[in-house]
Amino acid sequence: MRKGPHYRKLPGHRRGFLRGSSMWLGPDYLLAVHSLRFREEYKRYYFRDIQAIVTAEAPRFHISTRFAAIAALLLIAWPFVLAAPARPGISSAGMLGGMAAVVVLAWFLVSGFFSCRCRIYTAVSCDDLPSVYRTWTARKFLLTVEPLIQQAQGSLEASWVRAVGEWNIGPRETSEAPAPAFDSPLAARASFPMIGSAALIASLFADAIWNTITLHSNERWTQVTNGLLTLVEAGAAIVVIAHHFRARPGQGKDHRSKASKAMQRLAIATLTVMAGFYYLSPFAYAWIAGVQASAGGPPVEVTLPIDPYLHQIDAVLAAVLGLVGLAIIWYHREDDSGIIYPSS
Amino acid sequence: MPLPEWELAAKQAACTSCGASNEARVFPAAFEPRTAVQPQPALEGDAACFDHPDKCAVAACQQCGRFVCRLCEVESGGGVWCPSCVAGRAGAAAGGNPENSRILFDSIALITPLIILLMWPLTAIAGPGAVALSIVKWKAPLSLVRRSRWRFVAAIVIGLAETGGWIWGIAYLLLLVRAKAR
Repeated sequence: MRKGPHYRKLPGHRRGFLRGSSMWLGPDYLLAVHSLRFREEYKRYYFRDIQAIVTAEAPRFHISTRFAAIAALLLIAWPFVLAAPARPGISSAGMLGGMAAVVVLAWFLVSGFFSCRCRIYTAVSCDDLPSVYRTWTARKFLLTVEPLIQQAQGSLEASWVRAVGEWNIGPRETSEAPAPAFDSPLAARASFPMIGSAALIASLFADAIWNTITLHSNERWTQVTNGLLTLVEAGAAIVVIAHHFRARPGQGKDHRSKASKAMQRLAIATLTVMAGFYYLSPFAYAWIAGVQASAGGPPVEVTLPIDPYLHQIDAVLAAVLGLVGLAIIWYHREDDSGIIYPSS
Repeated sequence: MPLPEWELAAKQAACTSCGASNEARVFPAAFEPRTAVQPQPALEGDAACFDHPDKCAVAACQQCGRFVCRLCEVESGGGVWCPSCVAGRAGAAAGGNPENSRILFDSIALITPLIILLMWPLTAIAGPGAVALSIVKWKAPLSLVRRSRWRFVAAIVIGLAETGGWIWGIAYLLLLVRAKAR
């Protein structure tokens, strides 16, 4: 027996690795569902309370689980392509690379030029709708929702635009000045993990350079150096994350600077990439060895041409993460409180 | 936060700063007057609010019977409730305080034995754990918008497979040891 109202899915679904978001249609309200993998949070917007829905074109570079699945499929196909016997005139690796390039290009185009930010206003709230982030989804969403809201509220008179100057939409602004984000410039500076960030970015670039230099080297000392660099990266990433979560006495979440949040995300991404390499490298070795052995018929000496490729991927990822770190410091060199961070 | 006027002048407008296209749909609720609720002061002989003894009561909570003033009354589903009953989700007052979050036990039961494969020795605990959690929480409320219990079923299958793998492995080792002893 069903308890509670029946919900109908509305267009748009944001699928992330840890977070997801979707909109559902209830009996007399919209239900926003924010999924945190093991927990769901709900927010209801009653039709009678919705004041406005605004969609604004904006780039949204979201990596959805679907996109990740396509990337994973291409990665799985990769060792097969490497192990396949070469055919004259056809480059399987080139075809696969071309497909990957097309997928990435399409993602960039859609994220950059066909994306939007959708916001819903009521008298007491003004919230982003994360699930509505593509322009065609926003169009479909509005087509479904607008008649229902108009049914609940009626439609506006033709002369309503003239009245706009007298009204504020969304939550009322308080007359009090907003509390300063930081107690003092020193506090603002203290909220940014400068040493950890610098160590993280430096170790990422060092890792990238080292991997590029030692691309074809299998000597013991290069591997030890690589391991040490990885340890430094992990340590710096942990310092950045710990610094972000160590709120100063009397300060809440809002007092953490945007730069600190961005660096924390970079640190998480770095640790994720490291963990991915740690777990996926043996799988990749085993995979390609298996494919080679099966392709060769009788037992053959298994060669692993994968090593330089892994080094290349590691180097590229480390360089990209390092560049993102530099971009974060550059972008947030002046934070909300006007504090200038050193850009190097 | 007020909407900029240019966004409202037409359904579609380009930002004067960056040129981005914006679409604004405005509804009559935006123009409803906002009046703050002002409870009347209680005069001598008037019924007073339970939480605000100096304010005049306007209704009684349909769950606990306490008198409530204009400020305290919570109207929902055709009834009037006091803030305590709504906050405590007592009886019919629960309708005034709809659920804002739920823990997804089915997702926990399904994902844990899969993730734990990365640290496979722990599957000895995670496998039976997933089966136990699925059985114990079978009747627990699922997501508000997701009705199927397939995740519990999949979790039981995976959990049983992991547990069976361990039992088979241990039995095989014991047989091996016994065969060597002979």
